[in-house]
Amino acid sequence: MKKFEQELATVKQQVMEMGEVAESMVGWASAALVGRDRALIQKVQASERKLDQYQLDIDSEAIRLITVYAPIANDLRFLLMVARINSELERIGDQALNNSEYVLQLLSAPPAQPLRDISRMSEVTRGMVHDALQAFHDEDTDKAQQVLTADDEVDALNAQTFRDLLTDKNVSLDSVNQSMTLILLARSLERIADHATNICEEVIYLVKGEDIRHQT
Amino acid sequence: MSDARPQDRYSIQTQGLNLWYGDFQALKNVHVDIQRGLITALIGPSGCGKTTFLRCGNRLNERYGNVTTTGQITILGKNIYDPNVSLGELRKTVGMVFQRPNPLPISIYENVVFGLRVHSPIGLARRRLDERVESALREVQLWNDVKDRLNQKGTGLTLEQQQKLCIARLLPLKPRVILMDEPCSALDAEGTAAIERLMDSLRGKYTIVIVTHNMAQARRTSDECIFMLLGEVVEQGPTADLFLKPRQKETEMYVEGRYG
Repeated sequence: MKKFEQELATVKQQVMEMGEVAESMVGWASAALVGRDRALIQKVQASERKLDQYQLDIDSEAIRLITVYAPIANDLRFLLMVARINSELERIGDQALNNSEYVLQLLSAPPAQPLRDISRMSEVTRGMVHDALQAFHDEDTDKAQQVLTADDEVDALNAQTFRDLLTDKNVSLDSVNQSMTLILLARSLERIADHATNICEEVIYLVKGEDIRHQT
Repeated sequence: MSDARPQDRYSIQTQGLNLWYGDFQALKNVHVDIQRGLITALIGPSGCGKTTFLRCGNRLNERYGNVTTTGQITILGKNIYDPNVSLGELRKTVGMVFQRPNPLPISIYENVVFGLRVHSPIGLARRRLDERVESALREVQLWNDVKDRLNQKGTGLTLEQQQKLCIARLLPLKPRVILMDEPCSALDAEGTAAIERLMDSLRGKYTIVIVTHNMAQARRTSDECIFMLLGEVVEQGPTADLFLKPRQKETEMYVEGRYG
């Protein structure tokens, strides 16, 4: 393998490692809520700095490779998409950190509200992040397309959660805070799913050179 | 290592280096620090003084008449113009590779040991010479191609192999610095890639300074770059920085291909 190809493979590996951290953060924040486990929240918070460092390292390496090798065609699309995916992953990490703060608030009182569709949303969202990374790794546009479809379910669950909580007649003054926090949590999960969707659009651009953003 | 002594961190340092060919000043007040173990590329338009600067490194310019040099060149902590510096020793420490491969019209084996025979007052045992030949040819990734024909003439090899042989020829003398003057300009794309891979494998063991007109090659191969213009050093820095965010306008215009 040529040196440039090795260096591209190393960057790809770094993105996958960063993705694993981001995906774990999303999973830990959700598991902390379902299992009422504060230790997992600490794990989310401790990982954020690691994710930031990955972002800086990957950006800097992508810029160096573009500068040094002046890549074209597939190599250029790869490095441009690496820079974008890097940014999506960092934002996923930021949202996971927000989620951990919402969960911390929810855990500070006995559960007044059922989790409704949030458990399902968490599961689907985490799966989307995982599949988006796999699609990037395998340059698999079919898998990318499946993630785009899964986003519809997350959007629907988010809307449903919002409606349910807003129209809940049993909401008391005590539980309104929790309802608000659950709405914010659902919205944050929906944003994570959007970032996973963006990664898949970037994978499709990487593989096919087709820009499918803003088409729906 | 930022706390290393300058002579440990830098293989080559120049201070106020000037050089004239007759009345023409080819180098003007050149100050550079070239880091040990890295590959440093000298870039700049034709006639900017790159090759002249390179040739100062082993005092090759002195072979040309009417050359005047002032200032200081320190290699591995020693001023190479000190009267007690032996030219022979200097050229053992600082090897040179030229544009056109120039193997001697003798066997591959004798090409590799040529320097040893010249520099060793007492001959080495054949077994020791054999070891040095194999080691040098392995280091330049040529051993497998030529091990069965070491007695054939070096001039019969392909240009890429000849250039590798010219690099191998330096290694038994245990150089610390290798100066390369457009080492790929006579080679095809495959030969160029092979020499670049070789340079990459030598990184860390030797300080390599390469003059190249090929900006893509400078970007690909070097850790540091020195941009020269009209005999002066305009800018020196890590290669990625120099091509991404040059500090000087002249450098920016050159690397953007606006002139040169």
